[in-house]
Amino acid sequence: MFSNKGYGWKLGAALALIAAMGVYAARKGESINPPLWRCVVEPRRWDNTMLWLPYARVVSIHDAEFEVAATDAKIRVIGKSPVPVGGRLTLRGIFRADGPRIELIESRSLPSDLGRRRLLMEVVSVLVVLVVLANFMRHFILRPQVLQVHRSEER
Amino acid sequence: MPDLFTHLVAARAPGIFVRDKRIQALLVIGTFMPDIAYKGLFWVMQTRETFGAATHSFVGVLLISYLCCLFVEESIRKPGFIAFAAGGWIHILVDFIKFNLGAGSCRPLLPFSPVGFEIGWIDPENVVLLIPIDAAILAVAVLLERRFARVQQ
Repeated sequence: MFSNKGYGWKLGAALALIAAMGVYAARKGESINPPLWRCVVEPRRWDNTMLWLPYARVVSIHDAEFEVAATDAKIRVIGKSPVPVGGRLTLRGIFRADGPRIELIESRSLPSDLGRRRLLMEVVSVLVVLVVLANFMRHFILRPQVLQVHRSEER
Repeated sequence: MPDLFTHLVAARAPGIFVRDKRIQALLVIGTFMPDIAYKGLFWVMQTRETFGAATHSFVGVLLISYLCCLFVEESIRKPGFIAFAAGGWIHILVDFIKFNLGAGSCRPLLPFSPVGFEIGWIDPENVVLLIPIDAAILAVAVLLERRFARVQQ
């Protein structure tokens, strides 16, 4: 399993299995948390589906409902908004085809400095990748020329 | 995903018990593999989000680890595979701490079940607050590692 024997076949089989699993996951996971725009376009198909909007902005607030704009669509949400108009939130609820609307289950306001937090995280992550790659190069050296010489000697 | 620093520390701390520095490096790279594969599929291959979900499952990590270990020299391929897989599984466990309102931070049981799972200790937007804690854990881990190395000498 870990030898060089049949190396190409092993490489191909691993790639094929990963691709097959991705296709399987895509099909099986289609009904889980679909994008909002798909629900709005085909409301009957996604009726009663559990939805999670990681990021949405409150457009308007009424008595017992409010309207949010996610990245790809707008929708009415039945429930109480945790933030004022213009505020950002994340929410989870059940999509109903009549309306269409979302029946709110849970929501949470997002911090106003979300962009700065994300930027800091990205910068730290890039630095981490650079440090890890530097450490990796200390222990593993990719030398294609040496490999080629080694191969030609084998022949 | 929490920031990569949290993932790094989560793999590097148990990594002090790995004597071979090469295997230790593979363990650390292994912990980034689920995200590298996921982001690669999403941004480069333009696949759907659900396609990449398999990269954050226990079986998916095994397959990716096997693929990755084929690129290291034959003599350390088997321990390399174990290191990659351990790193990947640590990654999934760390992802569990996020709170996605019960939607699940990843789907670890794919392809057997698409159910999402999360422990929900920290909001995704607050993982940045873990950085000082991570730095402290990393410092202690490196200190302990150096002390162990001196004792062995």
